[in-house]
Amino acid sequence: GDSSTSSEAENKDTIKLKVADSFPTTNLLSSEGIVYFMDQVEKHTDGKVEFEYYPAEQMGKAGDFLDLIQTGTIDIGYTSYATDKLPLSEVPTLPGAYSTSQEGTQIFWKLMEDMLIEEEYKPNDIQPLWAVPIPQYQIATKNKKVENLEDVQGLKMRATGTMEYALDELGASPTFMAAPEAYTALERGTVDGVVFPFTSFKPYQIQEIVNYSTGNVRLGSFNVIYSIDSKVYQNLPNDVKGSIDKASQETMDHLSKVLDEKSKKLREEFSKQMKITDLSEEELKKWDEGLEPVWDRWAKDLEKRGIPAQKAVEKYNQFKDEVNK
Amino acid sequence: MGKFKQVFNWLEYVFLMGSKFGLFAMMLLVSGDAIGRYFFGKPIVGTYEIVEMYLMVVTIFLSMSYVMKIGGHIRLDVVFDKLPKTLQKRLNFFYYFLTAIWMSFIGYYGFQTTHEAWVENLTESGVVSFPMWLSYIWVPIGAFLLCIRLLIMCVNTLGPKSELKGE
Amino acid sequence: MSIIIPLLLLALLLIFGMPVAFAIGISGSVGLILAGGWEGFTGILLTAPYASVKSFLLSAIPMFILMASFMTVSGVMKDLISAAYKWLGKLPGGLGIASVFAGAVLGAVSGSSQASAATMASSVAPEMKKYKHKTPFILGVVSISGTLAVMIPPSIVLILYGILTETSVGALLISGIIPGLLTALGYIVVIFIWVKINPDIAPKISMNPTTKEKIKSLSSVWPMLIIITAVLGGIYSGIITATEAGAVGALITFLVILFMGRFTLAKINQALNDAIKASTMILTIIIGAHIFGYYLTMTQITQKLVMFAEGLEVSKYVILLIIMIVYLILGLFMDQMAILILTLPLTFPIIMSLGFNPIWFGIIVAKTAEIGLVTPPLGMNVYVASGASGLKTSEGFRGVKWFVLMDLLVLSILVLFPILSTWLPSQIK
Ligand code: NA
Ligand code: NA
Repeated sequence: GDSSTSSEAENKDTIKLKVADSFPTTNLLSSEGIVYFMDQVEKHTDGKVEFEYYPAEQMGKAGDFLDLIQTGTIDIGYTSYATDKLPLSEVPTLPGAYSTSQEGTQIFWKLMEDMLIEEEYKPNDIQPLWAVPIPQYQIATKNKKVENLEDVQGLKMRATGTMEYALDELGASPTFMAAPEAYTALERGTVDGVVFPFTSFKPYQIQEIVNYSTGNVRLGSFNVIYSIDSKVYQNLPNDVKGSIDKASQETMDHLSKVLDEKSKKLREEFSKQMKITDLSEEELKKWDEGLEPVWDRWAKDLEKRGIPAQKAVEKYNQFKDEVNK
Repeated sequence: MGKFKQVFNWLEYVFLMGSKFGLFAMMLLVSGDAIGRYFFGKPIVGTYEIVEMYLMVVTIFLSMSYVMKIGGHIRLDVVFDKLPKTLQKRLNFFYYFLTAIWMSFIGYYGFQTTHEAWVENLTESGVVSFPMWLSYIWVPIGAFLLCIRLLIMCVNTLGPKSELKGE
Repeated sequence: MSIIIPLLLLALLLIFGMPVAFAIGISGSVGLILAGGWEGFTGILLTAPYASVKSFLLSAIPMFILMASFMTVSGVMKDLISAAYKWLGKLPGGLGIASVFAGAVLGAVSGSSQASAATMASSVAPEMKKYKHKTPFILGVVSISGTLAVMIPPSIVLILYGILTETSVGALLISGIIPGLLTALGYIVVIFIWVKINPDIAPKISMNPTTKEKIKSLSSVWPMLIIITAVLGGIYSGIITATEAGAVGALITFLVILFMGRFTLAKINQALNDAIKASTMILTIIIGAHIFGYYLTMTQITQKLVMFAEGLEVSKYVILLIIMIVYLILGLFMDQMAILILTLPLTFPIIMSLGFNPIWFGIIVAKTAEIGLVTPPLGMNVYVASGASGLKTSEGFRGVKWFVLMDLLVLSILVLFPILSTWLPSQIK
């Protein structure tokens, strides 16, 4: 993106970057994520870098942004849904990969720098800016309280991504539907529940309609990743690169912290509207064991395509030990 | 030209059958999924992806050319119908030609995407893995079919007994 | 320049009769090149055609159309209309009023206005034609009745509004009921007056059916009753989602007609053909509209318009009025979903800072979206209705104009009396 209008031509040093994603700006992941990032960059560069931000699918659907970066339509985009081309970035979304968003962010970024940039970002001509695995998903149900593994048997649950494997392993029936339909489907009992993190309840009004939720299961989660066109990044002046790197690190620290805190606060808030159950340590262990095969299934599927998923899992666990030592 | 048209008509017909199959299969699969989920607690795994990735794309793209042929792509007729016949022909030539060029871009980029997905063995993974190339490929096929149909219609507008909408 | 040229090009191509889908897609592409350079064009042409079609939510459109095609081809719809005519034929615009009811029922089944309009166009429209109703009347009634799906729950527009603004989806859906019914009532009034002034557009029944004949005609209504009960029951008891309702409805219709012995292979083939023709036409327009929407995004024109409204030092009602006018203008050219996605992140905070009610604003936005669906040059429902019924678009736009006036009146009433939108949800909470 090098389009500049006449007013900016006077200030020739201004660098314009086009950013696009699929979150509405009211979503926490936008306001405390990419918006925070852009503010930080603008601050660090004294306004030398300006952003044109296209939120809320204004430039394409969730899965389109990698293509839009690669064709040069945008410079920075949300690449979480490009799991076909960036499959290893899904590692932290597997069940029990971390407890808090802050922990997950630290572990995953180590893996990113150690292996994933070379393995899957460079071949796609992009450079990851920052990534934040969000708080663990919980089981929110309308009529059935979930306290142990037996309760999950045969539950019809709306789920996406790697969560589908997890529910399958636990004996539930994962059902796909567009997120906007989750509310109506719960209301009418088309599904018994949904799998969402507390921080995503409000955008879909889940808190209005469910009566029960688990509080501490680690079913897995989702990884928010933004990437920049490698060529665009390489051509930036060094001080700007430095500012972007700094802002990226700050965004990871900021967003993961906000998400962890917000998740706690929301839990408190929601506990007035629904019964939130924490599972005992003993029960959690059973769940973790039950979910163990998800990692193997995920890795095996990718290994079949010649993708070093096993190695990524090993490294992930190694970095996890490092972070938690 | 006659022979070519004959072969192309046949090809278009075959793909139209594919499109009809997609539509009918969508009805059966989505219903089967809902019935399985409600009455047996067992939804049909992969329904969502199969409908999105395959059946929708097949149904729409494989019939674009046929719908063009039968004049199904709607147009505003209020001014057009009042224009002299020769001008109508010229306008149609222009529209068909312009659309053919535009469609060839869509077809070309669609082909690139399909090719990449094929070479890199890309899949949309879940409990079942779905190959992506088999989802993308209907875009270039449909786009190029429509492209050829439009060019045939262009030629038709030049002929003496040309018709205005479709063949 | 990058704003004027593509809009002008679109207007010219549409007016001079280029197929709508391609006129929108190509002028959008020209806009992309002007506003985003060659990269902007390639990126969008690579992603948009595929991504616009690859949608489970949109599968409701071909499925509802297939259901309607089965009804039409098998003659079930003909029986139903014939019965309706025997009962309502004495009423001025009786069949038109019946269509508004049908639109309200379909609106309760489907969240998609296009699915609803196409369903009616390919089933009701040909029958009304047989009873010598004039084309502008038929297309006007069918296109406008389709828009009822926007307000009557479930509504894709209101759900999207809820998600984009984090407003209660439940409350929004409930709040759509009264405005939806008010709108339907408004349409009936229009039909009544129109037929009073010009009785030729919807001729009254000429014969005088006896009560016995009337009762007898009901015997052919049962297949329709089974189908509607099954689909509505399926949705409201939670067996199926609104998106799945089309597919299940089509299957039930297929089975009922098969059971009645009214299907031949040729008829099934004909139904599939008709359904494909209408679905592909609609989805191709949606592809074009998406491309055009991305171009408009790149020019940032919506942002500029909203900023302009925000910057004015005037009463909050003037700002509201300007925002509504912006919505109505955008509605002339753009797909309704695209408008919401583009503008709500900008307008919603302004509206909130002015102290307006979020639910009420949702209803106002949905109402302007309804109007945009039938106004030229981009009036999706009129295209859908004309395309699916094989009648002329120009007569369609001619036919909806009185209904649009009524819509504007209803919109004013909704703006002036927020309680119409906010009372029902407040009772249920
Ligand atoms: Na509706
Ligand atoms: Na319009």
